[in-house]
Amino acid sequence: MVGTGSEMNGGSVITNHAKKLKVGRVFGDNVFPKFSILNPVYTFTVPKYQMVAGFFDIMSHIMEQYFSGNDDNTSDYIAEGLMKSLITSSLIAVEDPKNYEARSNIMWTATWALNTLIAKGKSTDWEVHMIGQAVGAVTNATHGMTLSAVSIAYYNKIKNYGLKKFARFAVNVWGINPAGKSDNELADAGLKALEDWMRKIGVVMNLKELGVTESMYDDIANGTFLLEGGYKVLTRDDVIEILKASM
Amino acid sequence: MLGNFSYCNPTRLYFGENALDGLKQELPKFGKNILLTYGGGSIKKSGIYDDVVKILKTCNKNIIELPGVMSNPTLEKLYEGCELARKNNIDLILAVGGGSVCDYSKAVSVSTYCEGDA
Repeated sequence: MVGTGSEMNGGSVITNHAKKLKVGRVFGDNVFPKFSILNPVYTFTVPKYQMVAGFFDIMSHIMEQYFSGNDDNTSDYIAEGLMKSLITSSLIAVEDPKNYEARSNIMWTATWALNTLIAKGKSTDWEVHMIGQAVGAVTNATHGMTLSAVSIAYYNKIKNYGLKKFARFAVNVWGINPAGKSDNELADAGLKALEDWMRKIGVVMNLKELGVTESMYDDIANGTFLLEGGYKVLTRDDVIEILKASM
Repeated sequence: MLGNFSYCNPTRLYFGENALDGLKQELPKFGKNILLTYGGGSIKKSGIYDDVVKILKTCNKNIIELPGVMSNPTLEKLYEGCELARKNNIDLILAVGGGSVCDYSKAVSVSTYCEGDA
């Protein structure tokens, strides 16, 4: 399946069940694969659940890098192009998984979503992955679905701290007409469009479906690394609130 | 663009329906002992396993198999891979699968040369 971008980066995630930790390490270019072989046809047989989880993983990788910083940055324009390609092709692939054009576009987008290019000149966020991986450590759920289950609650929590970027996301990625709308209205419309797309491709929209219960909140919060690259540095209480809002 | 950065992308990538031909071009660049990592066996059902093994044999490689890489690969599985890599003097890890198999193989490649956890 595609999604992780592991075919062209130095990233690696390993789970320690004894310590209830799922930890990602990003190594330098000496750990990038020497070569990678990508045949879109190989992805045709991936079960639908894994396929769409991969689609969301790709989207999340791009958003984690896009939603940081307030400067005008070439990386963000590339990110917007990648998101538009993914949105178009994912909607085709869920109806027709053997559509080579769509699956090949998605495969190539996945590579560029996480091979360091669109992070250049940016602080990058990655907090959705921190929460998602902490959820994964206690549930062993499919990675992409741990991200989809918490993303809307997370972005609603932080949008006011990066309002201009969320407004830009609505206009440039989702094609929402900005005429007569405030940044706040645009940001909400963009997140609504994101949510609609997630429902259309069929990713998991809440943590309950992944087996999360209230008794797991502490372990998940303890396993969530709090990063500083995004629009808001979360507190432990913020993480708990996001978990609650994601149920 | 703000800040200072460097950019390096050292991965040679073969893309498309004939991408596997790239394996024949790459293999001569590496030593004989290949650690073949994969997951639960879907690559055997799909025929990718047979195609890859055929190319490895044509290129006279020794294949050491490491199947059963699970989604969300575990620390215990990582130690198993490092042990196998050390014992067999592995020259190249060939990951056949998705993100978990690729992530896992990188972790093995780094941790094999590490005291403790990387």
